[in-house]
Amino acid sequence: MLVGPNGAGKSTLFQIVSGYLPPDRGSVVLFGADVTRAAPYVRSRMGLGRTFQINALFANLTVQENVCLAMLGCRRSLGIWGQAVDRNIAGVARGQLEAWEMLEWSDVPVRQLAYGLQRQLEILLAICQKPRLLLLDEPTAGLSPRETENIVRLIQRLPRDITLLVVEHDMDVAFEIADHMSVLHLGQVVATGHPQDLQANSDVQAIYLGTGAPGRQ
Amino acid sequence: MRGQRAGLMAWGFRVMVVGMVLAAPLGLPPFYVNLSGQVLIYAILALSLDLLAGVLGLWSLGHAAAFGVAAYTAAFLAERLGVSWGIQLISGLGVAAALGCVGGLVVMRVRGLYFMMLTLGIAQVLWALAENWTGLTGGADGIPGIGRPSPFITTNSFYVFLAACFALNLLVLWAIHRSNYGLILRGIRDNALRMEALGVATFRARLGAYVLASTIGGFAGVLFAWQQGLVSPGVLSVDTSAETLLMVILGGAGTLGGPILGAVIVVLLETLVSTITARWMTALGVCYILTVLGAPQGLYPVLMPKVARVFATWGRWFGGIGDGKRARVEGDSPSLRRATHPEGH
Repeated sequence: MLVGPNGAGKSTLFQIVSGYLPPDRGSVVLFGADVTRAAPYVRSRMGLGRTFQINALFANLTVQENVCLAMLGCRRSLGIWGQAVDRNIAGVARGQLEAWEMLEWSDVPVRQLAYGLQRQLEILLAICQKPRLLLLDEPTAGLSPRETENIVRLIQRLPRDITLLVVEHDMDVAFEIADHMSVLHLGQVVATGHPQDLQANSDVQAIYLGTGAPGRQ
Repeated sequence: MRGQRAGLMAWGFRVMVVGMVLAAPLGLPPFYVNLSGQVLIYAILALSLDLLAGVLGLWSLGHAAAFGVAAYTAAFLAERLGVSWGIQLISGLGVAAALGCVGGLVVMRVRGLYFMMLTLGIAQVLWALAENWTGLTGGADGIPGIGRPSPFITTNSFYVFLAACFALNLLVLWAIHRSNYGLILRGIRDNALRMEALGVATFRARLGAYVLASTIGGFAGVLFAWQQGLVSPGVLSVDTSAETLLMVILGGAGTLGGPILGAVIVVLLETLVSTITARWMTALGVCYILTVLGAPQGLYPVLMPKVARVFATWGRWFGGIGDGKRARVEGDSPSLRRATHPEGH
């Protein structure tokens, strides 16, 4: 779990890790390989999945087509002549939608979906890639308490073999789902450790409560 | 089993309808047969542009480039070197594909207005070359005297050849539309950033579509050269590009029927209105403005549900085709209502 105030550099870090921004210095190592110069799709094929802070869905396509696209993206070959949404892919897609309680909306264009469901679909698309490392960028941003609860439940149900790196502003959510937490401030890691330990950390309190400048690590 | 039979009958019905529509002009005087052939050529061109504009969301202002270079290639090979029509066709397609590949490596690096400007620029450079490189292109006079393919000399036989070429291109584009690749292109149109995050090499996919669109546009160019018997710089002009765009917009982008309908309307209106009044361009302009204001998504998406309803009725007469395939009206679906108001408010 990565937390920090606005401008701390959380989303920038996500952009650098997933290949949308080049780092000014240093390198990015993913699953033991240097991917500093690799394009986002190369990192994705290595097993990196991500969601976006602002929904990045295919608004004019249906929910099922969105899920099918996520599954097609993992394939090395585009399969030009293969029928889109063929029986196999459609079957798996419907299974995923059922598991995520979204099956009844499978034929609805995404632009007509409620925001909470779009947020849910945003995560589902990343899951369909079968990632080894999944970056979730503020998964509950802009959601009602009931929708937030639903997303937290879905995140907690994710397979344990997926490593999650989550950026979250809602501290209740952060403490509920995090096994390990790092606090970022002005591009620096101020504190890292078990969530309960960080609650008592004076630097973290200083950042969030404005009681003074934190010491740098 | 019953579903398979209904599917086969539906296919048979579609092929029969397309065949009848394509064969209909054969009973008309030669002028109208030629006009129908021209419609088919422009329909292929508009369909190829739609692969870029409608499916991929890249609005090219220079699609005439592929059309023109293929037409000039066929004309040059036919008139200056006298090679067979098969080689003319293959060379025309090859040159158009090569142009798509080289041009695509440049234009696919940008999007939106910049893409439009670059495609327009490439077409304008080629148009200027055609105008000024008199030794190769014949300058403003162009290359006249291009013969038709030897087995299809007569008006009717050449029209049948054009109809077969149209059907072939339509089949290829239909296969792309329904393929994984077609879905991926639509995904790139909606959100290229996310497609990259999902593991798709978007540049390669877009470049492939650009080369395909150029090649099919080039096919139309070769057919145009054969039909007209003359290729002049007009085939590369911004007028040709704009007219093709108009066909796509008017008919409805992103569909197979839209560009075809657009080509029918534009070619027929231009020919028929120009026989009535000298101010035909003004009259057409007003027509287009009214159509775009009345049906901003194009005429095909507006007309199709109405036509589908008629065909569903006919289909039932033909033994169950169209059963349970009623046109769905947005906003009238319970699941859609729940999706937009999941918490009941």
